[in-house]
Amino acid sequence: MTTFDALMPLLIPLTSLIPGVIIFMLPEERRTVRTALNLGAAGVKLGLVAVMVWGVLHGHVYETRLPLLPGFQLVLAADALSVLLVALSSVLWFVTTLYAVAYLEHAPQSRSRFFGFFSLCVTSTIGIALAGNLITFLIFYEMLTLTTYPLVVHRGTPESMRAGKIYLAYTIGGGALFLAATAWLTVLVGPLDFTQGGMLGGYADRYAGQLRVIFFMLIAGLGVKAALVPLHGWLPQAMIAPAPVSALLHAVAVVKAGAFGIVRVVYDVYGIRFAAELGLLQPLALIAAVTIVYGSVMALLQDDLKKRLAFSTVSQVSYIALGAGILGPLATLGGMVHLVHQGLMKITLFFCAGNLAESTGIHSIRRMAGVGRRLPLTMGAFTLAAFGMIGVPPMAGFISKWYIGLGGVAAGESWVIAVLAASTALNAAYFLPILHLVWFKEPEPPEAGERPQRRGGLEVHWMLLLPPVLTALLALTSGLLAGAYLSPLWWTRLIVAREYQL
Amino acid sequence: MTPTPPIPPELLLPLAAGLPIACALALAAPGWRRMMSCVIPFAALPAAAAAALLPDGSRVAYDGVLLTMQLGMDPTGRLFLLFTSLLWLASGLFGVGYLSADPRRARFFFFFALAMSGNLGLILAQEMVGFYLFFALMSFSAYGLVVHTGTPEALQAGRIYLCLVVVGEISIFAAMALLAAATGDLVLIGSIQGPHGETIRYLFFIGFGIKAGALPLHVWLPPAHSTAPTPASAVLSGAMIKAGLLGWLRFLPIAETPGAFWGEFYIITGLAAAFYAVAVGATQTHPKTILAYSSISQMGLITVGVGIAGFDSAAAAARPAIALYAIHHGFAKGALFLGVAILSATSKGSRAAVIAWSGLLLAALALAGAPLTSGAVAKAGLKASLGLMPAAWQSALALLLPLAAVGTTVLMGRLLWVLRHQSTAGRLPAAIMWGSWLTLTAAVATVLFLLPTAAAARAAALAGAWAALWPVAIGGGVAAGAWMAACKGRFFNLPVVPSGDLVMLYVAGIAWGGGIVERVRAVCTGGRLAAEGIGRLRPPALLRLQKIESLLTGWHLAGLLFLLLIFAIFLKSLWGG
Repeated sequence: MTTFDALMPLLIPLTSLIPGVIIFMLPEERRTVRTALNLGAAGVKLGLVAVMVWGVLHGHVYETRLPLLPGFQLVLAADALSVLLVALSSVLWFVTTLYAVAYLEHAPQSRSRFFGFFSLCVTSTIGIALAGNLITFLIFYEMLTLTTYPLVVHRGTPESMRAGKIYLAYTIGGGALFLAATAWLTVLVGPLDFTQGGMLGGYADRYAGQLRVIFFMLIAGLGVKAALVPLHGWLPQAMIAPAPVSALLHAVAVVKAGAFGIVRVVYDVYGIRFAAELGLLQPLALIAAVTIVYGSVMALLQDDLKKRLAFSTVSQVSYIALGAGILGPLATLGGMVHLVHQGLMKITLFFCAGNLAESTGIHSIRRMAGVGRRLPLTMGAFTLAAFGMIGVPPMAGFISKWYIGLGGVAAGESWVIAVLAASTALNAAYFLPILHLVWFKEPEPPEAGERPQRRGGLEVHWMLLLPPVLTALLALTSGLLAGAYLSPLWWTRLIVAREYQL
Repeated sequence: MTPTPPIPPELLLPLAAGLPIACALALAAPGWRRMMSCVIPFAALPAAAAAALLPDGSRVAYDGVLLTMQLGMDPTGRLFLLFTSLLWLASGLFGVGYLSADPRRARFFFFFALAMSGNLGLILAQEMVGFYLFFALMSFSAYGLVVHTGTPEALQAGRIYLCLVVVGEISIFAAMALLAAATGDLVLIGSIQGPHGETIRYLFFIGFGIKAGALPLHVWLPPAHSTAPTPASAVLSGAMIKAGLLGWLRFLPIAETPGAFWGEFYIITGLAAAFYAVAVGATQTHPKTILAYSSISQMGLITVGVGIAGFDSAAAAARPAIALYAIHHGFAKGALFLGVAILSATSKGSRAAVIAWSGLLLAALALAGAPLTSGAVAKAGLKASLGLMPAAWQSALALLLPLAAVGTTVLMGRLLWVLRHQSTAGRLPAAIMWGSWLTLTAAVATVLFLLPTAAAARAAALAGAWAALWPVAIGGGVAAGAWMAACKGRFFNLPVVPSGDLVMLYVAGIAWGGGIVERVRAVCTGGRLAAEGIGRLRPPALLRLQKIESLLTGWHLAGLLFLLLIFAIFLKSLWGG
């Protein structure tokens, strides 16, 4: 059992790395093999993750150490926080694979390339989640940049090449900054493993000033991917990518990697109490608050559905940073659980936008009148997720908002309530009119480039329909059954208890 | 000691709150639409059974649901559940007939069932988050009822409604979060403490006041209640409006008042609504709008009750009186709305029209508080609780409450006047519509005379029957005078205040506030979305924002900003570190 435990953190990324490599080598027309490999690997990973969840609950220690350079080790380890992201990404990877197969298998571009990089992208995300020290985190963080670029430019059109260029410029810049900060920190204190409660508390007297600078360099480096204003410019551009890529990018892969990194830095590198002592939390919370409001205002101005969703991501992901920027278990709980909640809701919205574009050719919000009648299940899922984004119970978004709000008040930062109120109002202002259009307006005749209604059968292919319905139900149940055993909230309580040594 | 109820609360409580949702979901399945539309009204039955059968203190808790959801029965909840469930049942059955030819009937009943579930569930909820869940479910689902007809007026009413719903949701959320953070608890009737006590009280006033039609948050109510299909108007005005009231009763602590300020605050806003709504309502020409204004006025009187409960010496007596008043108004208003629809379907002078007129007259008299009606009992209950208040308020209210009753009578007179030409259509209402309306009318006539809880108020009403007569007599006299003058053509035409009165003022204020707010409103009020809307409405500040945004996309600039930021942080640390 012990050897198996030691291998586990290696096995889980390998379940997507190996299929990824094989897919690269498969000829284009081997569709069945490719699909079987994709889904099989996703399934195996789900199984392994289930074992890992069970193991972490029962006190197993999953840790792999590989020598990397003299003095540096590649550490892959599973603590409760890693498992949160690992579980989220394996579940969402599975549904997204299903979705991508149906969405892209008939497209003209190379599918081997797509699914190869798709698998590598998931490998990087899992690596980020399991990374046990900053160096390992950095390696996978950079790998994520490189593996997502081909996905963003997949269509190969001039706009997508342009978006890809912007994406690379931002993320490589952010990565470089993160690298510099990591190097600096390592020079100061040596290569240290992530530790619950933080590992830098002992260096306060000697390096307080330098540690402050390093903190902001780390946050800025991560903030590019987490789309903190003003580093968010790439995200709305990158929505040019195919729907399944956007879905994954916005829910688990890139944006979440940045947010997860911020959480790691605050809690397991600096330690939240130490970060508060250094006065680092308030600026972080302020940046997050500005991002929340700014992203929502920009979302309000978009007519392109995917663009509106992209700006909504800018806003929503900063809930996580906001939660991390407030000292106290309640805010931590709200911020961390939003890692999962935002992922479930946002992936649903992007799946639905993809279905809409795929089956009707509609991209712009003002053309969405009456589509609820054509795509009832898709739009039902969209509606649930949109209410979740607004933060209406029983959807998952309410739970996050509630705990961040409670945490803010408990920490004496009551302005957080005002930020949440503004965000709620703005979210309502950009989602409710869509819902009105979808359900209460008469459909209009199709314009050029749009497709008329299909007759008979399901509203879209079942592999396109199942993923959004499933994720919407998950977003519903993780809110409605928030108190239940193994719900995201339940699991996050476990993490918080360990971080604060409660 | 308590006898075991025939149906265990573990079964009945979740059924009462959840059965309508289950029915709504079944309705969404294509093959079931026809049947489910007729079944949905009966989804209110478990709630009625719960009100009748479950003893006080029965409770179920679900650890896994939300943050430990609790449903339960308590004395206030029972009274609310009683009239709410019967109103939903009767209005639903009425709707089966009323909408029988409507092609969008299934959609109507879908939202009807969801709103029903919200309304019943919030009465049963025994902790904050559950209450908020059902409150939100009811508020958002009712949008589907308000805009059902799809006319421009309904869409406009829907926009105003939705904007205020969002404001209300946010206020309640903020108040609950502040409260829960201060007390560390999710219990409903706790205490309001901590540094944010005053803020919490204001937020609760706004959040629930929007639903209860408190002045000046009432602007959504007349357009929404009057443009919704009649069965929806009946539950909006009779039942859902009381959710705001229940919110106050649930969240404002009983035995804790920070001075008399809050009691006086509620009394004054309540009185203002009671008189203001009569004045504006009397200028209306549409019967359903008059009824909506009458609801604002009546809710104003109930708000006075909430204020009386705010003086802690009077709290104990006022609470049951508030609930009795809510029952009375719920049934009477429901019967009036349905009655108006019944009357319009009868032909003038027919026996059906006579029955419709007598029923309407009964409900109108009850609302005005004529002796021997439910209104007299409700008002007597409210007056009895006055006896414990400071003397100055006692004498002021002893004068003002009867004056409000005069106003109500005049407003009811105006309603009947507007209705005089209402009997037009030839097609008689279906039997199910007659049945449900007559049931509600019977409830107006009897419930407060049968309910054991109302015994004291009944006795007071009988003792003070003469005192209750004069406001109705004066009001009736005024109305009769106006009628006669109008018949002889010697009556000036009142200027009609637009339905929703102050809403125009708000819109103008918002437009004047300009800038971003204007844009938000434009999107909030739907319809014209971004592309076309932005072109016309985009104010300069936002143009600049978009320009900055597009500049940021050029990575040179972002990179530069980025470096500058780092440099600044570095300098700061050298300087400060």
